Amino acid sequence: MRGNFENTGKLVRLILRRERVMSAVWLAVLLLFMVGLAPALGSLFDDAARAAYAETLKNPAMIALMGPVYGSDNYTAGAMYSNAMLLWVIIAVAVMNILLAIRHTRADEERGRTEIVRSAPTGRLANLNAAMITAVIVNSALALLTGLGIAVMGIDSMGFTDSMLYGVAVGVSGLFFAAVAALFSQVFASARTAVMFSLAALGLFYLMRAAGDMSSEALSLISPMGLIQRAQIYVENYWWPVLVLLLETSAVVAVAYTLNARRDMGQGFISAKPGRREASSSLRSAFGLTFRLSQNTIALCSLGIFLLGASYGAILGDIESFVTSSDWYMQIVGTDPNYTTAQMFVSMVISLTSLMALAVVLITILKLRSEERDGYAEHVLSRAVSRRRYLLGYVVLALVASVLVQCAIAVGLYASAVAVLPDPGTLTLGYLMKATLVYLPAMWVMLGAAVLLIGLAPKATAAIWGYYGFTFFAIFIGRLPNLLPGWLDRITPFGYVPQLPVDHVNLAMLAALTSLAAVLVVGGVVFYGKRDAVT
Amino acid sequence: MPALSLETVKLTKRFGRFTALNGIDLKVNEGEVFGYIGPNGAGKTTTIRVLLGIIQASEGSAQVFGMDAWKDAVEIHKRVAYVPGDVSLWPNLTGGEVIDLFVSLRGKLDRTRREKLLKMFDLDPSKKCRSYSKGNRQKVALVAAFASDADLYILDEPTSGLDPIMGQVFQEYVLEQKNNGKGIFLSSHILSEVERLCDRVGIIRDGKLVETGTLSQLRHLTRFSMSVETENPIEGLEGMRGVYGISSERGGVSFQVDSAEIGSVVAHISRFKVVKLESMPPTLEDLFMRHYNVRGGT
Repeated sequence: MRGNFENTGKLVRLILRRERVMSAVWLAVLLLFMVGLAPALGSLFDDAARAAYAETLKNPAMIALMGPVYGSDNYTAGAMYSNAMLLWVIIAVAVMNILLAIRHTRADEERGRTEIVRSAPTGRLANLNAAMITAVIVNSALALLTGLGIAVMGIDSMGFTDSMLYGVAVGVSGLFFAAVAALFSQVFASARTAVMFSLAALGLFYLMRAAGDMSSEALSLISPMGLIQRAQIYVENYWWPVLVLLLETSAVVAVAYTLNARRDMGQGFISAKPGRREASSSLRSAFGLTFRLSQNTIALCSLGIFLLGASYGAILGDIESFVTSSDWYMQIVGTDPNYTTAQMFVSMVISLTSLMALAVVLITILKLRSEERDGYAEHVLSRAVSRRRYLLGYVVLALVASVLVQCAIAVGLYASAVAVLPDPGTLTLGYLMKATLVYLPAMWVMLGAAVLLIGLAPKATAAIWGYYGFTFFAIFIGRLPNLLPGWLDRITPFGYVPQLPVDHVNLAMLAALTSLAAVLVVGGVVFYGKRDAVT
Repeated sequence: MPALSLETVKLTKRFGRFTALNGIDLKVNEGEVFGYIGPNGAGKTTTIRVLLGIIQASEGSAQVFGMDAWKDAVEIHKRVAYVPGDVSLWPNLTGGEVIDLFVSLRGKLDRTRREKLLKMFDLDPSKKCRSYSKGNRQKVALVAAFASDADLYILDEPTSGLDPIMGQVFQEYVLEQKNNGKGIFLSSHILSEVERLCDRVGIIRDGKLVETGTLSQLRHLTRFSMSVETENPIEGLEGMRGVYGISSERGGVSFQVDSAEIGSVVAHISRFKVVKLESMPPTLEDLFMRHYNVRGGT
C-alpha cells in the first residue's frame, strides 16, 4: 500500500517535542548513574579486594541474581563494572523504552489523539513508525553519551571502543524492549495491558537468564539480557551479541508493523474480557473499596520486599569475604566482637529494608489524598459513610500492610538463609520475625504523622516524604561512624528502634512509640472529621 | 403544607478571602422539583457540597430533613441520592461494581430495579470505568442514584453528557420520584429540562441568590418583545418607563418592555392607529441570558 508512512517526519518532531522533558530526565538520571558510578566502583576496591569479591559472586545464588562472572582470573575494574551494572541498567532502560513506546502508540490511540492525527493526511503506519524512529534517536543518544561518558573517565581497564560497546549494548537492549512494547501495543487494546505484558516479558527474560546462567547456556542466549551479557564487555568485548539482538529487534518491529497495518484503529487482536457485572460482596462497603483499590499495590510491594530480603539473604553464604572485601562495607555493616558478621549484616539489612517497607505503609495511607484529589472520595462521603470511619479504614489497611511487609522481610531473609547456609544457626525464623517486627511501632509513628497531616494540612501531606527522606538519610548514612551528629537519629522514630541482636528489646520504648502513634492517629482522625473535603 | 426536604438560611461559605456563597436562602419541599440555575462558577456546586456535608458552612445554616447538613451527614446521606456533574470513577472497577458499591454504601440493593435501570439507560455494566465516555459515567451515577431508595435527590448537572433520548429517560425517572413525594434539587443548564421538570427555580449569580420563584413568577419579572406597525409614526416612546432597545423597521418599531409597563405602553401606542401588533412573552432563554449576563438587567 502506498503512503503508509506519509508524514512520519512531522510526527517524529511532534513526539520529540512532547518528549523534551520526560526523555531528557530519563537520560540524565541513567547517565548520572552509569557514568558517575564508573570511577567510584574503580576506586573503592584494590586488586586483591576485587579478586575476593569476584569469588563471592561465583555461588549459584549470586549468579542467578547478577549473571555469570567473566574474567574473574584477572578481575579488572571494567569486568566488575559490567558484571555489577549492565543487568540493572538494561532493566531501567527497558522500562524507559516500554513506557516511551506505549505512550506514543497505544496510549495516544486510547485517548483519541491518534484519531485526529490519522484524520490528517498521515500514513497508516506513520504514527508507529515515528514512535520507533524516536526510540532509535533516544537510544542512540543514550548509547553515544554512555560510551563517551565512561571513556572520558579514563579508567584503566575501560578503553574507548570497549566503552562504546557498553553504550551500544545498553542502547540496543533498550530498542529491543521498545519494539516489544510496540508489538504488545498492537496486540492489546488498552495501554495498561500493553505496559503490563511488556513488563512481564522483561521479568520473564530476566528469569530465563537466571535459570539459564545456572544450568543452560542456550536458555540464556534466548533471553536478550543473557545474550547481551555474553558480549563480555571489558573482558572479551564481543560485538556479535549486539548485532544478533539488533536483528531480533528488526524482526519484532516488522511483526508490529504488519499487525498495525492490518488492524482497525482502536482495536487490538486480543480484546479485553468483560469484567464483573456485579460487585462481589467484599466490595460492597467503604473499607471493601479501600482494600480493593490498594490490594494489588500492597501485594506487589510485599512481594518486592520479600525478593529484596531474599536477595540480600543470598549473599549470606559468602558473607565474611564479601563484607571484608571493602572497608566501606565493613563500616556500613558494623563490627561487634560478640556477634558474627552474618548477624551484623542481617541487622543492617533489616534496618534498610524496613525503611523501604515504610514507604509501602505511607503509600497506603496517602492513597486517601489521591482519592480526594481525583474526586473519588466525594462519591463515598456523599453516601452513608462518616468521614472518621473512611479515614480509619485507610489506617487499618496501612497497619495490616505494615505487618505484612515486615513479615515479608523476615521470610525472605529466612528462605535464602536456609538455602545458602548449611546451618542458619541463630538466624531462625522466630528470631528474624522478632528483629523485623520491633520496627512496627516506629513505622506506626510515621503513619500517625501522615494521618495527622491528612487531618490538619491536607495540601501539605507530601511533607511526610520529606520526613521519610530525612529518616532514610539519618539512619542509613548514620551507620557510617562520625559522619553525622549523634542527635540526628534522635529526631526520627527509627532512631529509637532496638537493633537486634546488639540491642535488647526495650518493651517500654516500644510501648511509648505505639502510644505516640495512637495519639497522632486519633488527632488526625478528629481533625479530619472537622475539615472540609478538599481536592 | 408539605414537609421540607431541605432548607438553607443565610448560608455563607468563604474560602479564605473569597466568598463563594453569600447569604443563600433556599427551601425545597417534598414532592417538588427545585431547579438551581446560574452561570458557571456562580456557586451551584459549592451549595451542593455544603448540603452534602462535604464542606462546612462558614455562616448560616443548611438543613436536610430538619437535620444539620454537617453534623448529621451520615444520617442524612442514608436518605439522599447524589449525582455529581463531573463523574470521575475508579478506572479499574467495572460500572456494575461501582453501582453496587454506591447502592450498598447507602442501604440495600434492589436487583430488579437495578436491572431495569441498566436496560432503560442502555448501559453495559461489565465494562471498566476507564473505557466509559462522559455520558456513560453519568449513567453509572444515575443508575446508582435511582436504584437506591432515597427521599431527596441532589442532581448536579446530571444530563450534560447524555443524548436527548437518555435525557428523556432521566426526566421520566425524576417525575416518577416527584410523584412518589420525593424532593429533587436539580442544577441544570438545559432549558427544556428545567422548563419541563421544575416547579420552582432559584437563580444564583456570584454566590447570591438573585431570583427565586415559579417559572411564571420569574417570567413576570422580565420583558416582552413587541413589534408594532402603525399608520402614524409613533412618538414619545423613548421617554416611557420600562421601554428598551427601540429600533425602527420598515413601517414599524420593535422594542422590549417590562411586563409591569405593558398596559401603559399599549395605551400609548394605540393612539397612533395600530395596524399590526406582535407581542412575545420572554422565552426561558431570555430569562437565563438576562440573569447569566453579568451586565444583564437594569
